[in-house]
Amino acid sequence: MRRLFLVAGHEYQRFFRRRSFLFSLIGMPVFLILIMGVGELSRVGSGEAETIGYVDRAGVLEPRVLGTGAAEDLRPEELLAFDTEEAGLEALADGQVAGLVVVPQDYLRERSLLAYYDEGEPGEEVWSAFRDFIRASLLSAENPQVAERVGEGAELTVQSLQGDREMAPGGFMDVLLPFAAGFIFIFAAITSGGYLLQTVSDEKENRTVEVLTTSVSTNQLIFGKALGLIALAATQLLVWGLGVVAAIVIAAQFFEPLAAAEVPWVLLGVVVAFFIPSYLLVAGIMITIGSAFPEYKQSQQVVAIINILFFIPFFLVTILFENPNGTLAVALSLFPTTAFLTIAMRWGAAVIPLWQLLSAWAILTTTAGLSIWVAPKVFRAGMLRYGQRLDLGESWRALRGGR
Amino acid sequence: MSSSASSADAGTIPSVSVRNLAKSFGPVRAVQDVSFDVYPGEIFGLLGPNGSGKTTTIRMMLDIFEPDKGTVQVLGGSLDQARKDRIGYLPEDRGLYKDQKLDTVLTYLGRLKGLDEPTVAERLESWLRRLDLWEHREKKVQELSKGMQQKAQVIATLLHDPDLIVVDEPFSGLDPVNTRIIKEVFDEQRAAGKSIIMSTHQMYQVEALCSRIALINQGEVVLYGEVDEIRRRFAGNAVVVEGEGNFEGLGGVVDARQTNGAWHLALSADADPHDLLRTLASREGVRLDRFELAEASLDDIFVSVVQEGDRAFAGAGGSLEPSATENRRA
Repeated sequence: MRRLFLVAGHEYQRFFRRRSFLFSLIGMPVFLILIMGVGELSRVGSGEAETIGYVDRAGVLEPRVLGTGAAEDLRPEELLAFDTEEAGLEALADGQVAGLVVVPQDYLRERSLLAYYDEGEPGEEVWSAFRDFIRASLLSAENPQVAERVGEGAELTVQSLQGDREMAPGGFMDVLLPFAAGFIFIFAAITSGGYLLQTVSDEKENRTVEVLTTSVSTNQLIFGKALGLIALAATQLLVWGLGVVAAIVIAAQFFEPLAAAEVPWVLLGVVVAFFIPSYLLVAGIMITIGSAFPEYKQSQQVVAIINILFFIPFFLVTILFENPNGTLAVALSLFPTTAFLTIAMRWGAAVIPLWQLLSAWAILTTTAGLSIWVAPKVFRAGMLRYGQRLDLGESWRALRGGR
Repeated sequence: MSSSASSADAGTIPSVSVRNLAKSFGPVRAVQDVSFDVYPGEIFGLLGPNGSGKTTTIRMMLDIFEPDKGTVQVLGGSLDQARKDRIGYLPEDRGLYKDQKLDTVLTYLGRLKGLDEPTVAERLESWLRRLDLWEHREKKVQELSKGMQQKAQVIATLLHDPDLIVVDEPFSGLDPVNTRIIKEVFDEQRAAGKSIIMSTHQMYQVEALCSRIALINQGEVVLYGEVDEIRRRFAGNAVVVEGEGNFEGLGGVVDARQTNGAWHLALSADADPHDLLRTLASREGVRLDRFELAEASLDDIFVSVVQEGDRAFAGAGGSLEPSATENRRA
């Protein structure tokens, strides 16, 4: 075991110090935080000119509802009423207001509003808040509870008959997290898998493998590499995860649904449970391909095709969201290379039956174990075939015990 | 030749015992029948032309390949982890991570051989200073010259003080000064009772270092025994000729090369120098100023045996089977 950990530690340090790895490790969270920070700065920077003027020809607006109920996002000081359109436009030209909304006389019949702006259109959230103002004004005569229900709509909780799976309303994180998990998974798989492929091919090409295999067993070497690269992926996920949390904390300052969101621990558990065997599957495949082909370039070409097998759910995202419990979605969930992403994407769109979750995990984990079992055997058979590809017959003989 | 033969004789239990090894890759029979023994305190030369099966034999010996047939005993048994730790292997090409610092790579390889970190650090400093690499320890391997990389590989081979040292073309890329240093290192290891198996094409290095050799051709051992004995056996199988005329295309001559005006003619195993003299004397347009038997060099013997493919001769000399040597030792 000591040698296995030595190999793991060496692989970890070797790739951790690479500029490309450090760049992707730090670059992604920094990028996310910057995006969120820029969003916040632009909001703060544009705060002074957010007063909106309006001309109510239809006589439907009720300033007393501002700051309450459906119009809680608008405060009285953010709205300026004008008697005529001309006065409003003059104020807009003078910069007293950032925009002017005219409610025509026939609004109740036609539903149309007219909005003006001068330099820089006010953000969508301003127009959205104004629409809430109109909605709240029209409902001002109703029972406040009814007005609130009309304003906010209904919340739907979907639950399986057995009660083992439930999709709560307003699960913003349930939709965001699967995409984030998919993004992180693909990056982690591509970078770490690429490193693993490269290390196997390099050692084969420069014959370091001969020195290594006279010091450690093939299993120690392969499992050590896989362990080192899992640790590398874990580091990547930890740093990226912290980056995502930091970005969410920043974004929550100005994006209310994020502030109200709860951490979906069950989904996180599922993501972790599927990620680890998925990564082992990638590792096993990369070692096998790196061993079977004589040169790194040839291996890369094969890996490009293999990667598609992991990306399929992304290509079919529309179909999966439209019919998250359809035959295709179930099939992709049960197929090892697509299981993780499909399950993650379906999570936000449907209640996935427990049997599918357990079956998908069991198939994935078994396949991952198989790939890790196959990898050292093919590695041993193929590591010294300089300039020659290991054919299927030789691979089969290697699996049956010959070398 | 070195005095290593006597040291080799001192050991009676072989460090390596290879019997009837065979290995095929698909339709290609890389090794057909290879047997030899290597004893403590000797440098054993494993020779052969390109593609003869030397490296495959070494790899089977080191359990990198599993043989299709035959047995290997290393350091008294089959190759387990404890025995692996007593082996130092220098492959034909440089088996080092090129994108890492020299001291990082060597420390890693030393630790894989079971050394603890302080011991590695202590021995590494000593070896790096001795081979003039101390100042370069912080450099990446790919920044080092070919010769420096080869010396680094030698350090990786010897850092854990192995009992069996297997080196494949150890002098590749080395200048004469560094070649001499590495030869001294190997001689020291031999004197300390280590077994060294050296595979090389440089016959003068074999003559200088090796006490015994095995010559492999087409996957089989075609010559096996002590270097002195083999040279005695092949004495008269080369002649030096000076004069005027055409000395090429002569019957019984397997290799003809001209050096400093003199022709060096390697003869086939069954050729008679007297017949050659008579042929030259009667050849039109040839004037002989000098004709003498050359001292048989391993180079000539190598060429003669390989080109002739004369296994019968080697068999008649009683040196094909390792048991001949073993019996003598006993």
